[in-house]
Amino acid sequence: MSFMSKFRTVSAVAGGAAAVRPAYSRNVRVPAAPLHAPGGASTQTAEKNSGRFSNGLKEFLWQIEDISRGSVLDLGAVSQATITYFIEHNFKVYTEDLLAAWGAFLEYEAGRARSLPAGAEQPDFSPAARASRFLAANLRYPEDSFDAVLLWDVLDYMDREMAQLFLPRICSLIREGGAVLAIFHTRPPEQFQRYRVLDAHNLELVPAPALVQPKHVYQNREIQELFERFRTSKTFVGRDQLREGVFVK
Amino acid sequence: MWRKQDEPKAPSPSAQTTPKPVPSASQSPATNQTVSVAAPPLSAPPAGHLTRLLVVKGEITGKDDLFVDGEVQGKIRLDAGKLTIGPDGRVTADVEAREVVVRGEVRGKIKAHDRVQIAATGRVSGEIVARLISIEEGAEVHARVNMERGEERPRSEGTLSAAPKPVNNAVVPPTGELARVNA
Repeated sequence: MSFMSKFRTVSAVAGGAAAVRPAYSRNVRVPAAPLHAPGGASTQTAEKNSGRFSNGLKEFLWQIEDISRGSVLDLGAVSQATITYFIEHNFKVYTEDLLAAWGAFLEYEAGRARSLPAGAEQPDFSPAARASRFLAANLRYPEDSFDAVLLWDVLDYMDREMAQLFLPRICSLIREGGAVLAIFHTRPPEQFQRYRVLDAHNLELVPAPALVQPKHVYQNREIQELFERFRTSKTFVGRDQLREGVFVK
Repeated sequence: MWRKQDEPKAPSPSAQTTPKPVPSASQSPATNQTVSVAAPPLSAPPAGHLTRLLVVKGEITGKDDLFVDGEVQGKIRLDAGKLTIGPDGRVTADVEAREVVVRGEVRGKIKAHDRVQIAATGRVSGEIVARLISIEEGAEVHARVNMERGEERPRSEGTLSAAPKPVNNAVVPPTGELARVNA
């Protein structure tokens, strides 16, 4: 099937599955089960495991399903369930616990600022300069390295200046046709959460100690501006007021 | 350097040139001494233990278990042993063992013939290769994760995309090798 016939820009709300999907040939080149098909576990089973149905995950997996032996970059807190899921589906998995790195970097910068002797020339501690320094030391992969990126809600915990520099970097790392799954809170999050892929339809949200404080709640227009380098986007708002977005380069 | 309980103190073999070698427990203590060897203890001897204040630069090899709570820079290879990086352990090395447990920090490639276990306090940067990988919630991982399968899967006819590697990250092998590992 042609690549473009698979994509369309849609906004869907809550539980509403993504409009009508074009029929496409299942040219399954790998003996693994289709990514977006329930992997042996029914939705009911996942609910017993306190999973949350995720239209965004389902759409994301559908977008990358034709990619054989692709590479996934997980930018959230590491989860064995997520790693196992993608490895079982023949993906190479890379994990970068970005918020942990960001938190450590902020601590380092604060310590550096404190340790400067009085009267010494101050380095540029503006958010933009700080973001540049962070990106100079992190996410240093060649361009077009990945087919899929799990961004989770990382952007909500970053400065806007950081996000504006971060998204072009992410875009450069993704191959043409690759997809990003991002999650945004529609109101300030009450608690930090880790995300686990339980199966093709369900995510588990695990409360965890906050690594950094939330910085910004993005409106739909801001999200579209952030991902302007991506060709298509599709967003879903769940009952728990999480906005899931799938963005395809 | 590091201590092993219930083992007589013996001079280290002069042939070993590694800066701070870690003898394995299977080594007989001082073979040239005329000391009658006592019957082996009923329980297994404790693993080699690199304590918190010790730093080893070089290569550690052996077949016994090893507990590292200090700092190692170089390479660790325990063919049949279990390597445990303690909460205070800091390892900047490529590591290969039967089983690897990380409670501290590892920068480099971890290869386990059986399994890698990363505890909640563990931090890993580099690459992880094992048949089984266990990661506790709270662990911090910046790595490529590769679970080796027992049997080789047939290659698909799809294009084998080049595996990305972090720029300037010396611990990750060249792209071609990565692609073969994943085949």
